[in-house]
Amino acid sequence: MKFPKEWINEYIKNNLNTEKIIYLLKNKGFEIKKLNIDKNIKKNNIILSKIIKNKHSKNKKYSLITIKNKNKYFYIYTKKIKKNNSFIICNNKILNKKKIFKFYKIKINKIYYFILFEKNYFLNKIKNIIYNNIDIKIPFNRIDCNNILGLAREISILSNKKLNFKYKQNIIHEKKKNINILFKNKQKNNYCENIKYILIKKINLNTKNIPKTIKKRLKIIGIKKKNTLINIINYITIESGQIINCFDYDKLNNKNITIKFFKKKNKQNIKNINYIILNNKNIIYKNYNIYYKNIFPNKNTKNIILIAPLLTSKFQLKKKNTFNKKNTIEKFINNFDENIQSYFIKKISNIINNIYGGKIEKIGIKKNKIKIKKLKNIKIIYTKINTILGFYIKKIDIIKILKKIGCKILSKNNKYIHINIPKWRNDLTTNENITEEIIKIYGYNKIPTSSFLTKFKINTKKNHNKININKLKNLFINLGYKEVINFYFSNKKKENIFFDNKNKKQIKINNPISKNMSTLRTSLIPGIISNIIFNFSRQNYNIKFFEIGTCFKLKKNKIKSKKKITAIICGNKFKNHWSIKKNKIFDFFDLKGDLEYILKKQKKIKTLQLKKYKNRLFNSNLSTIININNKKIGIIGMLNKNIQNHLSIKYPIFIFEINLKKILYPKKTKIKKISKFPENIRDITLILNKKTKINKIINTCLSVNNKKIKKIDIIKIFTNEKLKKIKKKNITIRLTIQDNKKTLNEKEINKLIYKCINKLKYKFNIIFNEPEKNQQNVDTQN
Amino acid sequence: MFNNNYNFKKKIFKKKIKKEIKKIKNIKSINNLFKKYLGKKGYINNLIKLLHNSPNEIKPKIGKKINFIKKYLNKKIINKKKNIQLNNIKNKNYIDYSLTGKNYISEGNLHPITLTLNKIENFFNELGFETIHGPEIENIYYNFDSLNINKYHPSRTSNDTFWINKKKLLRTQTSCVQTRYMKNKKPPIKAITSGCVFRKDLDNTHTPMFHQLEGFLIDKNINFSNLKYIIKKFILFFFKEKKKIKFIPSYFPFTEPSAEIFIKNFKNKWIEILGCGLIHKNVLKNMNINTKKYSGLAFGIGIERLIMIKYNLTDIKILYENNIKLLEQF
Repeated sequence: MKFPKEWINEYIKNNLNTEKIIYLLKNKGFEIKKLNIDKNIKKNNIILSKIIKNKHSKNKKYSLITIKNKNKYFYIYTKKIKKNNSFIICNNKILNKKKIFKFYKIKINKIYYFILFEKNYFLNKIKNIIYNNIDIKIPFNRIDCNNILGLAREISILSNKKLNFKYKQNIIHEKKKNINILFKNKQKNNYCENIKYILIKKINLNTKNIPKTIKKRLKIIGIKKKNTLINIINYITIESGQIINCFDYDKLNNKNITIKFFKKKNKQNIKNINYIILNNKNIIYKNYNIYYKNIFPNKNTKNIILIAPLLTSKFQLKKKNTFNKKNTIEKFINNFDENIQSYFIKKISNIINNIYGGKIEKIGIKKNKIKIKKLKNIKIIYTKINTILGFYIKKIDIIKILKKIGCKILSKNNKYIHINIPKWRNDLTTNENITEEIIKIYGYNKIPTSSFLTKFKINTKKNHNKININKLKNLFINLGYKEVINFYFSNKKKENIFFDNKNKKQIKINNPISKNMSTLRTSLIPGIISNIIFNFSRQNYNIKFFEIGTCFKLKKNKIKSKKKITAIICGNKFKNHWSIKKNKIFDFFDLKGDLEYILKKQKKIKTLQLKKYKNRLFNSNLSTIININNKKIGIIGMLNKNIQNHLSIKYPIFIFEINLKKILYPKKTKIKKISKFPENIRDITLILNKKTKINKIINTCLSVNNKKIKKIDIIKIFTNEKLKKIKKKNITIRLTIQDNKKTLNEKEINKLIYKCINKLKYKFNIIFNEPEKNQQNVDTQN
Repeated sequence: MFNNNYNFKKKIFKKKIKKEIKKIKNIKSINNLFKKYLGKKGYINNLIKLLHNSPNEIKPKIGKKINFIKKYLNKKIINKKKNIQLNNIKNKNYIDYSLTGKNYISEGNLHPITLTLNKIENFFNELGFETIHGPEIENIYYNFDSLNINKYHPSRTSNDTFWINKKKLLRTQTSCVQTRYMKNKKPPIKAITSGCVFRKDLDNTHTPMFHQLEGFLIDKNINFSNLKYIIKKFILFFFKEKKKIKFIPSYFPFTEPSAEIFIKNFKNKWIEILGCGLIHKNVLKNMNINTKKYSGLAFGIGIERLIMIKYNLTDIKILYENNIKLLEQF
C-alpha cells in the first residue's frame, strides 16, 4: 500500500517524519518497499549525480562542485558541502548559471542528497517526489491497517503519540421515512448491523472542481477515475474503510431498497461473499461497483442519497481473499465501527456540499432486527503469557500495553484479566495472539536467552540414505568430478531433443514462470549438458560433472518421483601440463572405469554386465544398459553425434545415469582371509575371433577353479594386418594362482593352466601360444 | 683374487680390497663386487662351506676371521655406494624445482549448497536433532491446510506457488515434512529436514527453486527464549564470529509468536536470514499432539541467502550456473 505521509499525519497529533514512520513500521513486522530515488527522479527529467570533485574556497564558506550529466562535466558553486560521498539533485536550468546556490539536505538509507534550488517550488516538488510517499506491505493478519485511519492508529500506538480522532461522536440519528430499507438475509448469512443514510437536496453536479489534495492522494494510491463523484467516494473509503453508496434519489422506484448477501464460488474455488443492493428486484449495486448505471447521479440529478451499511466483523473475516488484489477499492474496506461510520458519512456529505452545493438533511438510521453475535470477552492468564515467553513481564506493563491497543478492561484479578477487544482487531482471539501483540510492543530484543534441557531419545536408526549419498558424493569427488545443481524445471522442446515420445510422460506445471520452465524434468541429462555448453563457451574444456537429484514422471496418471545419479565427461582428459606432450580426449572406458569404481565401493561389481540397446539419446555403437544381477539399474553410452552436432559441441560426450535407489543399501563389510603363501603368475596369449567377448573367457577360466585362481587381468590386446584378414585378435591374459593352505608345486600349477586351456579350446576354438613363466615368478619361487 | 683358502692375512686382504674399490666408479660395478664377495655364490659363502668340513679345533679361529672380513666388506662397499650416489646427484643436470608437480587430473568439488547444508546439518545433529525427508510434490493438505494457512491466504494463489493439478503442488516450504512425520510419532522430538522448495519469484535475490533447512522441537515447557538461544548459537557457529542480530516481529500462519532474524551484511545493511517462532496451536493439533502438555518451536533457514551473506555474493543466479571457475573455489 502506497500512501502520502501527510495523510497519515492528519490523524496523529504531533507530525512524524517519514524516516520515523518507516523506522517504526519496519521494526514491528511491516515490510517496507525500498525508496527508489533513481526511478522516481528520472521520470521527471531531473539530474541526479554523484559528487565527483569538491573544492572549498579560501574562506571556506563556499565550494566548487563537479558533477556529471550525460557524459559531460559541469561546475556548480554552492555553499559549503562537507560530505564528499553524496549525491546532488538539481534542475537542468541551473547548470549554466554562475551563481552561488543554496541547498537542502536529505538523508535516506544513510546517504546524503543535496537538493540545489533557485526557487522554493522546485524544492517542494522534489520533496514531494522522493520523500513523501511510503510504500509498505501489510502482513496478512493485519487487514485493519489497510486504510489510512487504521494505519494511523497503528502508528500512534507504536510511536506513543495520541490519535487525532474521537471515537465518541455526538451525532444525532433520526428515524425518517425517506426510504424503505429491507434486510433480506436470515441470521446465518446476515452481515449487516444497520444502515445509515443521508439525503442531499437541490444539488448541482455540473461543477468539476475537486480539491487538489484529493486528486493528488488518489493518484499516489493508484485509484483515480474519471467521474469526480466516484473519486470523492473512493477517497473517503480509502481513508475510513467504510462502504458508501450513492444513488439518484428521484430514480429509485418506490424509494425501496433491499440489501442482500450471498455466497458464490470464484475461479479458484473459494467461496466469496457478494454484497448486493436491489431496487424493486433489480440489482443496482454489486460487489462495490454500480451495476445499473442509470441510477448513479449524472448532470441532471437534483437529489442524491448516500447509503452506508455497518457490516459485522464476521464479514471482515470472510473477506480475506481481497487482500492480494491490486487497485481495487474492495481491499480498503474494514473498520466496522459505528462511530467511525457516522463520522465519515457526515464528512463526505460536507465535502459534497462544499463542491456541489445543496442542502444536507439529518442522518437517518435503519437497524437490523436480527441479533448479531458480539465478540467474546477474553480471559488472559498472566502465567500463560510468561510460560510462552519464558520470562516474566510485570502486570502493570501488560495492562498498559492492552490499553494502548484499545482493549477495554472489564475486570482484573491477581491471576487474570477479562478484556474486551476492539471491533477492528479480529485477529486477537486467543491468549497466544495477545501475547504476540504484547511482546511485539514490549520489544523482542528485551527477551533473554535461556538454554533448555529436554529429555529425548537418540535414534539408533541411522538415516542410511543420507549417509550413503554423502559417501557417494565423496567417491565422485575422489575421481575428480564436480557436483552441479540444476533447476527441476524443463520444457518440451528441450526434452524432445534428447528423448523419444516422452511428451505424454512429462508433468506439466499449470502456472509456469516462463515457457522454458513449463514442465518438470524427466532426466538429469538435459540440464547437465546445458552446463557443459555454458562452460565450453567460457573456455573450460576439461569437464567432469555429476548430479544427484529427483526426476518426475507420469505413470498411469500417477506422479512418480525417482532419485537419479548422472555423471558426464567431455573434453580434454588432463589439464595442460608440461609433462604431457599431447593431451588425450576422454573416451568410453574412462567413464566405465569410474562406474566400476563406484559400484565396487558399493559392493556390487561382481556381476556388472553391459547389454546393447537402441536409444535415440546414444550413438548406436556405444549405447548400453547397465545390468546388475540381471536387473537394469541404468544406462551408459556416448551421446548421439546428431545431437552433439545440433548443440555444436566439439568433443564427444559420455554419460551414465543410474537409479539411485538400486545401488544404495547398507551392508556390513566382510573381511576375507589373506593367504600367507606366495602368489604364482602365469601369462597366456591366445588368438580369438574378433567378436568373442573377453568377459566370457575370463568367466570360463574362473569356473575351472574358483578358489585357486584369484585374479585374471588382461594385459595386452593386439591386432595386426595379418590378424585382421582372418578377423581375429591377439590377447594376453595374466592369471594369479594361490592356495590358502600350502605353496603350490610347478606340477599343480601346470595342471590348472592346462585345464583352463582345454576348456577354452573346447568352447571357443582358440589358437594358443604356450604359457610362459614370468620373470617375477622365478624370483618369488626361489 | 683369493683362493678358496682361509690361510691369508688380514692386512693383505684389506690392501687388495682397497685397491679394487678405488677403481670402481659406477653403481653397476659395485653391485658386481658385492655379488663377488657377499652374494649367494660369493667368496664368503664359499669360505663358510669350507668351514663345515674343517676340524673343530680351528673352527672358532677361522670363524672370527670370516666375520671380520664380512663386516669390513659391508662397511666399505656401503660407504662407496653412498659416495657414488652423492656424486651422481651432484653431477646430474640442473633441475628446476619451480616446475609444477605432476598432478594433472582436475580436482573434484562439492557444490557450495551441499557443503553448507552438510555443515548446518552436522551442527544440529550434534545438538541431538535427527534428519528426516519428505517428497517435493505435496498435497494441499500437508502444504497448506495442516499448517494453518488460511484458505484466502495469498500464497495459495497461482501468483506464488506452482500448481500441478487441483490437489498437488510443488512444496513452498519444508514445514510440510513436520506434520507428515509427526503423525505417527510422539513427543518429545527434535528433527531437521532439508531440501528444495519452489516459489514463483525470479530476480537478483530470488530463484524459483531454492533450498531450505527446517528444524523443529516439541517438548514440555518450550518457550520463546529457548528459541532465541538456539538461533544465537547457530549464527555464532555458522559465521564463526559475533554478529549483530536483530529480532523483528513477523507473521507466519504456522507460528505464533513469530519472528524474523536480521543480520548485518558486509555493506552494513540489515538482511533477513531466517524466520522462526513457536509452533501454532492448530498445527500441533493437526499433528495429534496434546497442546496442554506440549509446546514446540520451529525455524526455517534459507541456504542460498546464507551463502550470499557469507561469501558476499550479490547475484543468486551464479549458484545455478555451475561455472567451473566458481565451483573450484569451494
